[in-house]
Amino acid sequence: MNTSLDNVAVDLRRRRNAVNALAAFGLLFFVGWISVNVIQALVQGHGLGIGDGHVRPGQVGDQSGHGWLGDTGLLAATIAVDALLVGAWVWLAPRLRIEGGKEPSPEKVAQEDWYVLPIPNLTRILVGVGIACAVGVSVCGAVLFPVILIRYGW
Amino acid sequence: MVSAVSISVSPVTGTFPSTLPTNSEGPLVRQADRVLLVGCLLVGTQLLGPIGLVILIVGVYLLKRAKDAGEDVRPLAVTVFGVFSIVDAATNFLGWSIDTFAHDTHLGQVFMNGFGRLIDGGYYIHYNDLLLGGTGVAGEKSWQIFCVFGVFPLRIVAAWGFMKMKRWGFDMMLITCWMYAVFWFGYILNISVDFENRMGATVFGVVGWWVFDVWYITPFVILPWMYAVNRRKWNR
Repeated sequence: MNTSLDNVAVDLRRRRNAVNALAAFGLLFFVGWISVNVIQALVQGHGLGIGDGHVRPGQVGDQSGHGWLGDTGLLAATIAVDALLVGAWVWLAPRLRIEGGKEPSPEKVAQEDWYVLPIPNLTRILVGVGIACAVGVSVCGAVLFPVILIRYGW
Repeated sequence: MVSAVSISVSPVTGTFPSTLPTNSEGPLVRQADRVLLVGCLLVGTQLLGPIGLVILIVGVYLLKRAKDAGEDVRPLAVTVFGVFSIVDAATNFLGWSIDTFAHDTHLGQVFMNGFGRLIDGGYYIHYNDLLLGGTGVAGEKSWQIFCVFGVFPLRIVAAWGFMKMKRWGFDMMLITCWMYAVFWFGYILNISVDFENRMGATVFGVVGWWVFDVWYITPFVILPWMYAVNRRKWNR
């Protein structure tokens, strides 16, 4: 009995170490790459992009497209292909359920904890980062096209 | 097998034993999820992001109402990570689909060349010069095809299944998290190797690229959490 409990404790400790390592790696990954890119910019003399960025002249080619009708057709086809791709995965993904052996009844599972490893503080941080990122994606995405139109025109 | 451990009650982390006897989904939760999906897709269009954000907040409020009404509601963390993943994947999916299939349109060229001059030089230097059109960087194009056909549509579907507490949703979420993490490594390495034509040839440079792209870090946020959660809860 004690051996079984010891094994559980060892499993939990090993898992906690791995989860903490994954979280730390995520942070280090971005800090590391941002540092590398900043060093590249400074060493190669490009500047950081705060008032010192530059665009290579003469590189933007013809932007005339295929006329109103042709462009509308291409964009509609793009949306249709996207819908098909999502539809294909909607069909495929639920059919590829990985069976995990004998499962307890839903009633028993409903009584279990949500976590095999309680990490309330880390979860709060990750949820906060998740919300901030969703807002960041929304704001940056919404601002981009108007900025392009104001700066470079239609 | 790691056993479950009980700790303090929290609606955000969900670290409490569920008291609800079934794994069925109530009508209020279904309604809230539909609102959340609409919000995610609006954010995914980029231009309608702020409207989508407001609709997402309404969706979360509806979830809270469903919980107050006694329905079986998943922890907020599941909703946040699901929504975050759909928003992330949908935004990238649409943008890169335009570069993949509609790079010859006026709209596509104005958008991509503008993005290129502001954020990433790969979208105006030698634009439409390669075999498949669009970005003039071969490495970027290969990542793009990989993601438009595989990672992003699958991730949208996986995140939806994950939010609906489907086992396949959890599994696919885990798989796409690892795919996305590997993608991040290859992608940023690709950009860094070609630095002077990418971040080095734009108005906003390194700072602009990271300010614009750092929000797409879903796998690094979600992966640690997924290895702490009880997978058996995803049993619908």
